[in-house]
Amino acid sequence: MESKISLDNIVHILSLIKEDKSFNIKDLLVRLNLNMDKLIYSLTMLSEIYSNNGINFLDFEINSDTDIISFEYDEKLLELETITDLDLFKIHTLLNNPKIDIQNLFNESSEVYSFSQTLSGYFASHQSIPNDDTLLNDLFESDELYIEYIKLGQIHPNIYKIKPLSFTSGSDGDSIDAYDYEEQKIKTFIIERIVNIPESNDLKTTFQDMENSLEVIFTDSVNKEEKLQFRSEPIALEYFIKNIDTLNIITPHSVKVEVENRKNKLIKELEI
Amino acid sequence: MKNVFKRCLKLITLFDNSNQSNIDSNYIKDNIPEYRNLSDGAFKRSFERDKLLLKEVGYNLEYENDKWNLDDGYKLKGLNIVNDLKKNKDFNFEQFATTYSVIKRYLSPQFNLEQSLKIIPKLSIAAREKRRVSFIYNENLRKVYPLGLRYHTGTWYLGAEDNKVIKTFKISNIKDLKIGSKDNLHEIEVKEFNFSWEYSAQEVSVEFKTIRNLHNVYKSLVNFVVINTHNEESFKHLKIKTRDHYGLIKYLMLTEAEITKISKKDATALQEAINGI
Repeated sequence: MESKISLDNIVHILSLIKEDKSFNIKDLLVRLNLNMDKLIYSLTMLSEIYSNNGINFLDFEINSDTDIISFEYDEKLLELETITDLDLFKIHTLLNNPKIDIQNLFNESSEVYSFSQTLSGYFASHQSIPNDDTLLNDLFESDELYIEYIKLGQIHPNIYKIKPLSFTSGSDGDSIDAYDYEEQKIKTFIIERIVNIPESNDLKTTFQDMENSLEVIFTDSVNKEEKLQFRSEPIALEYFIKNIDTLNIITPHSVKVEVENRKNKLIKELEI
Repeated sequence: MKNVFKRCLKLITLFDNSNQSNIDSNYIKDNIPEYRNLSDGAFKRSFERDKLLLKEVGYNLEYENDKWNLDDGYKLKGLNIVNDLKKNKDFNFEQFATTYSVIKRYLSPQFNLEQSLKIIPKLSIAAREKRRVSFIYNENLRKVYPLGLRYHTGTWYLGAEDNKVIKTFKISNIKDLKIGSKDNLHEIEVKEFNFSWEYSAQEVSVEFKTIRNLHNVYKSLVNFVVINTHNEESFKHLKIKTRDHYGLIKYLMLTEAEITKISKKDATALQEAINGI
């Protein structure tokens, strides 16, 4: 998956260049998740920066015969710290997802385990997450992986044939970006909702697309009016049930009524 | 955007070269050519925008104006962990950096933590350095000693001492966080932070039947102990006990589980919790 240029990309490029002065171009593009044009754009920009002593911060040369890109840089680059606390916290949150078994996720498992332990010392938290039966050991090891996935707002899983590309995180939780072979596009799958990695490969894609936008107005714990956008009504419903003790829906009426219906149904269940 | 990235990188290098002493805005303006020719107002706007962009990737340019310090000005923060690890001569930092690079390859470039969670690294460092912090919580100003973090059913909490009482604060409700300038202010050591309901709420026991897959998706919403369980085709039968009434209510509403057995007393406790919502 190719990405847009961001400051994060630029900082990542610098962190890699600090590791080595030459790279195979294809390897570098894969590691950076960029295409050639965007890499050249980023490097040209970096080469236009002068350090305090007046020399180029970074210079690069491409050998098209050998496909090798080599770098020359001011030694000040080595002093530039590119690993931020925030970046490490992002990695920490993913490695601590109960579905990700870090021992099996990477080839260098002992190093990853030790890395994770080091970060736990800095983000020490009293975790209360139950262990998960469905561990995602096979992620990134295969170019063709089948997952049983329950879409938000649905109750039955579908099987998807995917190629996982990268981890990400959002308000819905930790997720993987993956290429869906059937629909031939990159999609986001929330890790919590992957319920199985089956042997069977009967693809079922019976869902309708629910990618509509819904605005919900609600009051928060201090009675302040807020607004949020959701991709669909079932997603909004799930969000407000998860936050039922702190948020009160004002509109739309349909979501408000469904939350009340679920509440009344539970009260009835408790009358046995 | 190209010029913005350039300015941001020059800003970082400026701080990195300044031996960690604070630098003022005049120095920043004079030493970055793209700022130099701007009017004061335009410089201020550009600098504030660049600060925000840098914050997104974890570089925090913070103004320090401790009344006892003659050296007022900006300091580059957000690199505490790496700086701390490098100080430890027995720590294999090269290995750590290589592993970081391997894992980073699998992180999406669009990886963006929920906005409210971005203060966690700051709180975590403040707890390690035993500083006092202030923030607005549910519209009230709090001044507390952060002690650690707790991750509970998908939500992060700060454990902190507030007027000699250990309390938990939901991170997403913390606004306008400010970190005190003095470190080593206390000797409090707490490893676990409990919510008040964990001590006081009545333990309830309930038996129910639910769709197995839905149980797998939503089980992390509630803190519970399984007494017994068995599967029947695509369903799961469970008997659990818990003091986490709200967690259980959310779980039961989302899975639309069928309750098969609950005592009158436990049903009343849950009904009271629902009515209190």
